Amino acid sequence: MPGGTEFFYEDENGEKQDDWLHEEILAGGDDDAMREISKDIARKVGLSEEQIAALFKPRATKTKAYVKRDEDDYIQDPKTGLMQGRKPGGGATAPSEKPAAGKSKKGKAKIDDFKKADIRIDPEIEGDEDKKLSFEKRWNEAVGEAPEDFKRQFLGGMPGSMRISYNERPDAMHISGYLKDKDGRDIAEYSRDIDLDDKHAYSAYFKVKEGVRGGGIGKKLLAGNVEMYQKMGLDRVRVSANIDVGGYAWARYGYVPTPSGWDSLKSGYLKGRLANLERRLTGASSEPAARRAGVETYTPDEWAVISDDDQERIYEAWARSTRDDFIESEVQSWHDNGGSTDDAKNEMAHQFDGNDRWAKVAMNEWRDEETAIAQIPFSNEQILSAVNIKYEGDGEGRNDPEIEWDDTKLEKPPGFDPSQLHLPGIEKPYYPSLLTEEMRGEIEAKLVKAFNNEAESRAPDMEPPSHLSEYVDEYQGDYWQGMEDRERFRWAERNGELPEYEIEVDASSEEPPEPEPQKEMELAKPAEMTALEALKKLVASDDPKAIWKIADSKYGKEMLLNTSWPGVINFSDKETMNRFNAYVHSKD
Amino acid sequence: MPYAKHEFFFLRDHKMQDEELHESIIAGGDQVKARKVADKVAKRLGLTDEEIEALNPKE
Repeated sequence: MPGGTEFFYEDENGEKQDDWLHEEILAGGDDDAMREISKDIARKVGLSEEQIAALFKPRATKTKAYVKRDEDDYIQDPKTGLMQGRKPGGGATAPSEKPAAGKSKKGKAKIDDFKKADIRIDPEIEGDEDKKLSFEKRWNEAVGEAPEDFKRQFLGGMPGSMRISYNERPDAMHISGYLKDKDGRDIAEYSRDIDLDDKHAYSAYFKVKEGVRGGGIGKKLLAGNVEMYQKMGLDRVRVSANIDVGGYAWARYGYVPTPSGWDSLKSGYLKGRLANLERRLTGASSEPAARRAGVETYTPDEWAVISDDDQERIYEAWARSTRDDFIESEVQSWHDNGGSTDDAKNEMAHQFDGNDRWAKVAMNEWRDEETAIAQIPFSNEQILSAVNIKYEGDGEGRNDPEIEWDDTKLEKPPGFDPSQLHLPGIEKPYYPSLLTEEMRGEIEAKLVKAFNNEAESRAPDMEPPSHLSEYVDEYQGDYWQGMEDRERFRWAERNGELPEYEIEVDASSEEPPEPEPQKEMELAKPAEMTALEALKKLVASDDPKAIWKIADSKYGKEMLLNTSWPGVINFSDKETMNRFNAYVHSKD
Repeated sequence: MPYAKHEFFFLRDHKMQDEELHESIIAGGDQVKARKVADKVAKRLGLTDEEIEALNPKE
């Protein structure tokens, strides 16, 4: 029987090794009992006191291999697989070899350039080498801007956050984030879609926080977006013109309805509004009168004289029209009150399996900072496999997760050979204790912080729960009840929902009622009739640019407020851009 | 995309609002220059000078 072969393992070359076995035990550090056992073991296997002492010293430079871990290089002992911190100098992420943000070597943007520009790339891209390369390639082809420059220009020079995702099919990029004030507070949220294949962009969403003077930032963002789209070689940008003033304002800025949008706008809103305007200017309603030949009608001029049935009908029309607003408001409250963060935390805790990218990054950071410990006895994978995350939601996303440890996952350090470990008469070492309480505390702090940050980051993209819309009907009813009669009447008037009632003729009267003298006085003046005829021509036109003159006219708001239409700015159209620049690039 | 497609608004009393946001841009714009473009288009669409003038707001 060969001597001196206790407590060893065979390496990949078949040579007996024992160094890491001792070092792991020594690295237990603050566990005195374990230390003494370790020393005894070391003595039994023939180590001198000097050798034992040496084992307690920080690990000297040894043969090391560089292994790729996530996006960074880390030092790994080739025999044990133990991670020992970030590779010093050089390496893929070594600062000395990194180009400055936005000035990558060869002029091509790399994923790291986005990080330096504080642009968050879709984790699915970052975590997949093929997707990463595909994204970098497409970015450099289609955008061709250094990420830092892109972000600055795209946001119109305003500070803000940016997240970018990219789908190869349908070759589309999604850009979103928040604009910030000088103190770093969110003041607006934006979301843009870019179809690189079809060379167009869509201004999908831009919400300003209440109380922020948003006109200026809206103009800057719009100008910055369009400048970048033009630099990228896109043809056009689309918008959904809606809400109160949008249907009027976007036309002022040069947006033009799409052909189908124009047809729909003409046959819907504009036809009805024109009829209302004509009725108002001439004192008579052309269409209803034509339909009701010989019947005198009138339009109520206050809420109180509208019948109960029509009031109910108007309420239903208002509820349909504003339902999206209320849902949006509920979603907003859910976000603002931390509901989305809470849901993100719940989802992350539920899905946590130790392979989560945010946790791996946190572990790498911890390992980088853990300079006092010469050797960490477990790999990140082992440590994370021993971690369970529990989160008890409070509905507001304020709670921290609880980190629980499953020490059974820490009983086999890298290279561990159970058949060689047990020494007769000596209690089997408890390997999980090599991960000391101090280490665990540090890891927990890192994971909690990373967990919370990741949840905040995911929150804006969380799907609102379906129950948010369940109470909207009730909220709308309450809101309607709280509105004054004149507000209800005004809404009905502006949205073409006022009824028309027949003028009841007294059967006992032999003479038909005389026309009211007031009506005669309200007949339109010649200039107004000219304007009315001009509007009719514009509304009848097949050219969507007719909307510009309608918007600019003295009846612009009357015709276009509260309308909804798909609009587009064609960058190659000179008239469009002249009009756009008159508003968006003007000095105010 | 978690939100509905709405561009440039804020929320007040459960209601999407955009008037204050747009009005400041419109007020700060070069309205004469913009109107010239619209008038040129209107003329091309067959409106007479008188009709174009009749549509203009009173200064």
